[in-house]
Amino acid sequence: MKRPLANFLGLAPAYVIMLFLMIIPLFIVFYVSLMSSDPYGGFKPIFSLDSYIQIFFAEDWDGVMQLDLQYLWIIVRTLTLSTIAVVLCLLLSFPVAYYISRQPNNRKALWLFFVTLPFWVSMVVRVYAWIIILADDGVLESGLRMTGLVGDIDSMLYTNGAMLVGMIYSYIPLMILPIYASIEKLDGNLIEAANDLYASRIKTLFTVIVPLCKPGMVAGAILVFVPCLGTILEPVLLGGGKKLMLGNLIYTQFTTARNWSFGSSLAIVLLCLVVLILLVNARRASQTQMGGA
Amino acid sequence: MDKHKIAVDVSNVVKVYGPRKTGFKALDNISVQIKDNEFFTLLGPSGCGKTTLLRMIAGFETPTEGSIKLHGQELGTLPAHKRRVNTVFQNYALFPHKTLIKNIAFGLEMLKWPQDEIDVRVQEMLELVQMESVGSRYPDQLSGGQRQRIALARALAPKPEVLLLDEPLSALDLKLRQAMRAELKDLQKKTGITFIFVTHDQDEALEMSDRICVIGKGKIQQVGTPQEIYEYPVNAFIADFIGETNFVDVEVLAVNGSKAHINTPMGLQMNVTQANAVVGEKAQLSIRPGKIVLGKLDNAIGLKGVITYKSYMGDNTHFKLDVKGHQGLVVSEKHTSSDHNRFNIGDTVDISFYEDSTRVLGQ
Repeated sequence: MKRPLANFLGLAPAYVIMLFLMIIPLFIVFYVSLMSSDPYGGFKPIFSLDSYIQIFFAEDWDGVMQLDLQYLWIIVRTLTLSTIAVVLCLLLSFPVAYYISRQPNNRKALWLFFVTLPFWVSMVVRVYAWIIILADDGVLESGLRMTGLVGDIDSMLYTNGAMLVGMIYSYIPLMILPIYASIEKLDGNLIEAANDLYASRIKTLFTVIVPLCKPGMVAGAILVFVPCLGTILEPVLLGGGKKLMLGNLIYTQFTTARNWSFGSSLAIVLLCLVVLILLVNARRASQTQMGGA
Repeated sequence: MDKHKIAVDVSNVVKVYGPRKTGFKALDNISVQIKDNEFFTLLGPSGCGKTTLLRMIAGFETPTEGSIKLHGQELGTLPAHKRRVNTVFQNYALFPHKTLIKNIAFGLEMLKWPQDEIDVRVQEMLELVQMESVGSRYPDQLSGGQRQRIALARALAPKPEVLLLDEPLSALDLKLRQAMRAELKDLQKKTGITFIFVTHDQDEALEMSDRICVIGKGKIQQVGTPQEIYEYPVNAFIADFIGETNFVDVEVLAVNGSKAHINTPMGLQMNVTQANAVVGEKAQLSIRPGKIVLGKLDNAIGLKGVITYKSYMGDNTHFKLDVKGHQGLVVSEKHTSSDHNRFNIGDTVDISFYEDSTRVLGQ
């Protein structure tokens, strides 16, 4: 820190990027959210909290504000589906990551390649593929019917479940990779030490391996949760466009509804949710940091 | 416990990595019996298979052939968590996410001890290793020596029938290592638990062990007390590995029980304690550098030599001498005063050693 100017100049590119790509756009969004909406699209530079009030209240025919939970319901659905997606991703990822970490070195690379393979294909195409699988008389249904175990099945497509499947499918690599990294980092002697101290394989898993992989699991959970909150494609393609999530709502405000202020206020709410969750996580991480977990 | 009962009985153990016929043979037909309440050391250079043997007793590896018994019970393929043995790992392997108390309690919890007994035992262990005050800390808040002690406490807490120690001192600095030797030895006496200690450090082995098993090239070279191993090595590998020695190629003229009559290149005929010497085959005379004296001794063998190298070592001075028929004979002269400039390079000096401090070792 002897040469503050040189230090500042050295880091200047980072500051510039942060300023122009993060801070300024964020302030623009925040600014727009505090303006009143223009009936002809865009916004009018007149201060108004209408767009925030609009999240909870709607004007009825008499011009009276009534509590309206439809947007809140979308927020709740977004949080619920995202949380379920994270939990299911965790449960599915851990065995996969553990399995890969136990493979010989040359195989690991291959398995990791398979995990990341879907990223090479456009997200739209990948999510679209699930329509073919889940559709009435689609691959899954006709397959199940062929086994003779099930008769008529209710439509699987355009349900919360279908959206969930799409979200998990889209973001699960973001969970597998950090968990894999933390299992890889695990000292094999610790597992042997647990075995040596009379812990069976199952006990070793839950008393030593899982707790020590917590940093990876937390990182994965954040990486999956955040894009799930803002997801757009799955509700449109797999939810049939009727079960909106927060991402869709914001998207609609800027495109078809042309209510920029409302879109911005929703974006700010989403941002606050994400920051809140990250803060809670950071606090818990710093509390358990002492144990190295 | 009966002092002469066998704690661990290793018989005809073979360990092959890879295909049985063509793979790497880490251990070749090992048989050794470790007694109850014994400080038993597996000593050998790195890669000799000593750690493999320890890991097989712990249950981390299974023998390709042969059997290992713990107090008469065949271990076979019994998984590690069902064996009444505990291990102190080279890097200690303390659980970083648990306090020291929780680390020590781990084995007891797995054995489903009642909580109040666990508390008592953990406290006992902390006192045993003199770490009472730091129980609520985490392993990464400790120094190497402290971690070592907690690793010991954790492994001793479940009262194992045998404690396995895998080079536990190698990560410590010299002073601490030397202090821990005495502590370990003391701990073994106090607890009365059989210790099986793996090391490549001969000083450690000599200082702590009741008995030492020297392993080299996957085979047991010799089993005996430190004194037996040092004074009566059965082959050149051991004489060379334990301590330092001079080897002189000699001719075996006759073997007579424990003695051999030999002809040396120095022009001496000697009658020396032998091991594995065969008439007409190559053999080596081993003379420890510390057992040769510069000067004359009564009733000793005397030779003359020229000093070619001199090195001050603190406690002693190492000389290399050329004697008739042998070059580079190493002599270590202990300093009894601060004046150690009696001899210099180029001097011709008398050297003496007693016949019975030398050994003839066959191949």
